[in-house]
Amino acid sequence: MKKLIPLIVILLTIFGLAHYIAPKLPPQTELRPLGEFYLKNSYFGEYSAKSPEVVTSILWDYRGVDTFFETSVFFLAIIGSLTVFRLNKKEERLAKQKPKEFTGGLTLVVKSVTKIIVVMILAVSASIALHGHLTPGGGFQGGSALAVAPLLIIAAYSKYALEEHGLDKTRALILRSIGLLGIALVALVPLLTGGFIMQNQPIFPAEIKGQLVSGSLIYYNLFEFLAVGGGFTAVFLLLAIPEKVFKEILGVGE
Amino acid sequence: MGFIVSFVWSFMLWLMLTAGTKGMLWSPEEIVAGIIFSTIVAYSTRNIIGEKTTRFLNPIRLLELVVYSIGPLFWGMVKANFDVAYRVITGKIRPGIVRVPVELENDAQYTILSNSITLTPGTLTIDACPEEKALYVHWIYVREEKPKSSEPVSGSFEKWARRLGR
Repeated sequence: MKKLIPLIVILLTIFGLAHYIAPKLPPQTELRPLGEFYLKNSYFGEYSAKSPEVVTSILWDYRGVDTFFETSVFFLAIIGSLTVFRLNKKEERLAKQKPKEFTGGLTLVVKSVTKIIVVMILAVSASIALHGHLTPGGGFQGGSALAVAPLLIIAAYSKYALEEHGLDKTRALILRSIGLLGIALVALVPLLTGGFIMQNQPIFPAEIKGQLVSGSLIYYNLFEFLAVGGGFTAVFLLLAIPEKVFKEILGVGE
Repeated sequence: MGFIVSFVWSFMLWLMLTAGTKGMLWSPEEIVAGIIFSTIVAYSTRNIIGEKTTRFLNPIRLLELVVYSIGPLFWGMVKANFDVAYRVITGKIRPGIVRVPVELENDAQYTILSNSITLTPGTLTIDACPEEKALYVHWIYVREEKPKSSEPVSGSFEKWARRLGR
């Protein structure tokens, strides 16, 4: 009962506020000028990003430098966690070794479903990333979806299963580095032809053989997809090292 | 073999996701992109998808799966829904975990049966133990405490699972 009273008070406050304040707020009836600009220009218009997906055009074109710095924040976050968990080569080999008593994983139902689902997740994530300039979605969303596949394998089987099949931390980092390098290159290419950093139109072709690719947006999405997916996978692999094993390797006791 | 199955599987999914890029069909660029990505996906998952995967590509098996899911499975779910609604309203429950002996051979059959049982409201597979040939099922109203077969729990599902997963 004592727990219920605060709950009731909170609920009453929320409903009361909603009831009294909500009608008094002026309803938004017209577009703000900035929003109107984006909506009118993202595909048609003079300052076009050649993409019907307004969010992606804001993300990688109008406010591209913002996203560039966001990506570098993500890069630093991954680098930070890698530094905290850094191991030398010999220690890394130790961390990859399966413990003897390991039997591994969830029930066979989860395991056999995982086998089918992983393929689907990868295909869907590639589709999200590659159609980011046409439909909702994009590099970050696709990359996050991509990272779910290794996470699912880690949960259903083990991190050792992932490493035995060839996806270890180093490879994930290579994937991530390719992505980041690609983003940096695409951002710098306009400088060669006398444009600005991260300029999109008219330097990159808006259409390839009649298929709308929205200039640089598709490249950014693709590379961001790799960078985010690889980065998350590397961190998941590191976090999946059992604490006991990790402390043994580092030689620190309880 | 795993490569081909994985490729077909992801390419089919890609076609499903991108349908309607040219009228109701697919533009050639979309198909090329699909082939490229399906190859990458298939290469990276060729060892994960497992052995005996060719059954995914067997059209008769797929047809059987469709028949199963709109026939017995759907009917079982409808019945179970009404049953659970009745138990929710009247409060007549007798929950418990029962051990259900089953006659299945491989992992796929166990998976199909377990998922069918979980999908029907009121029953929930907790564990599958191939070594003792049994499933452990949580049941909202335990009619038999020690069932001799899966029939009281899941009806005809076991027969179908044996057929689909062979």
